[in-house]
Amino acid sequence: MFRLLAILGIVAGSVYMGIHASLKLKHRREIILALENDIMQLSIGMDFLAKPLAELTLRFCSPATEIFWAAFRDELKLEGDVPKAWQNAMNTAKKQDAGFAALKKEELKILEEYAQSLGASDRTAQLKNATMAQKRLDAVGGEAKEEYDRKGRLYLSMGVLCGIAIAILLW
Amino acid sequence: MPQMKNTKEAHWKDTILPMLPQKLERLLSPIEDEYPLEELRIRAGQPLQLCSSLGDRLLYAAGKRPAATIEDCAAIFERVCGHSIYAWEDEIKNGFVTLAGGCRVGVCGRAVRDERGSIAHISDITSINFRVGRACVGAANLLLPRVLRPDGAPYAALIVSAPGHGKTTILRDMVRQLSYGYGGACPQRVCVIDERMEISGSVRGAPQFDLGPRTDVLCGSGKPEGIRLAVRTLSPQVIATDELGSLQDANAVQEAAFSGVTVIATAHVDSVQALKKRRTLMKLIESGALERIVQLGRSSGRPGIITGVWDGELRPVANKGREVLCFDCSQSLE
Repeated sequence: MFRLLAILGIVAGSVYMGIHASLKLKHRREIILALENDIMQLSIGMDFLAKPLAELTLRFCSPATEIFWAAFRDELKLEGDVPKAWQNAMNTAKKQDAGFAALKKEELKILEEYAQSLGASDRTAQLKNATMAQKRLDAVGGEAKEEYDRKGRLYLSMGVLCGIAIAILLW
Repeated sequence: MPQMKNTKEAHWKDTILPMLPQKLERLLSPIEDEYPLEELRIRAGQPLQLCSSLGDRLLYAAGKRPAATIEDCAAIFERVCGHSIYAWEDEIKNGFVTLAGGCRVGVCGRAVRDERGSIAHISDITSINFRVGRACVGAANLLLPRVLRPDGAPYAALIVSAPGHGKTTILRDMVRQLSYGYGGACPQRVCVIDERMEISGSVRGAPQFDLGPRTDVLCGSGKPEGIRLAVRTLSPQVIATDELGSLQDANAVQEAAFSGVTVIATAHVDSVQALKKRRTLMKLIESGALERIVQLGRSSGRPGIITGVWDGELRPVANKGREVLCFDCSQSLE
């Protein structure tokens, strides 16, 4: 009986690890896509509406990135500059959302660089900044999609198969 | 004398201090609340300059060091713009941003020109001037009877003075009183052409001062096109605008006046004698578009003193050789 329970536990753990690894890749891809879309929406808002950042982020954020933009708006009220507010909001989002936690260093760097001049210049410069961030996110987004397509199912299957293999060995 | 009061929507400390870095905030916090601040000037590498009716005051950092750095100016500018400089582009081109409460923030730095040679943007901010704007309800009480016809409609009037003598404060209150129909005025439909958002203190289109129930405010538009638009589409009885100067402004005022709209405006001219040397404005007066010229002055540091009223042919009207203190809101000094 004890052995059966142990085997079931190991199988469940192995399957969970596979699913977790696969979901991490999926979330990462989704967050990159959502952020890319948000940045595009923000730049459209800057160009045509000329509203302040806090107002635009409220209007244009997508559901997947809502946690981050809400934290960013709150930080903007407290912090003296945008990059610091961005950094704090990113830390909050990483703690609360698996997608943000899954972002790699390279992606975080792109976002930080975008935040460096976010709101700090005229419309033309803002649009250029947004276009650059979008293009860079597009590139890493493509890579994230490929990685998910390639490894996402693999991790899931490996989790299940490893669980079964361990179960057989232990039986 | 009808009651006057200084409407204190927000104290200057509440409006200005949140925009400053901590070290400047600490420097200004000990200033007494009653200090009648008119302007706070922040310059990179210089002490803070506080301007008031009591005179100028320079504030240094500890050890007589300059109070502000260029980084401070950049940080203040960013805060003033709500971390969204792009959203204030049009205002920045004109050298100012308006804060909630009608405080005007003038900026100075490096002007970036566009291909036509006009200023496209101001960057590398090195000077910031917070000009405290405050409605002074009742400021036009003593002036209004001098610019009203017997039927209660106003004469087309030009208020002239040097900067800082209370032109905008009086104009703002005249608009309010005409719109409500106070002080013997017949209620008027007023349209304010507020190019620099000083009359209404508008922030993103919303006026911060009470300009009356019959007042429409067109913010940010140039005066000539604004006046023409108002005449065509808003059917005002009175158009009020600030700082007439160019030929285009004068032509638009003239067109409005001969379309049956009364124009009340201000101009930076320190005396009627100097006015005679301003050809554009003189032509406007000679055309008959203006029926009253009001000259304001300053005495013992106090602005808002009527030093004379003239008719459209520059004949004195009820001057009787004495100056009249029009308002005593020492903190309202636009």
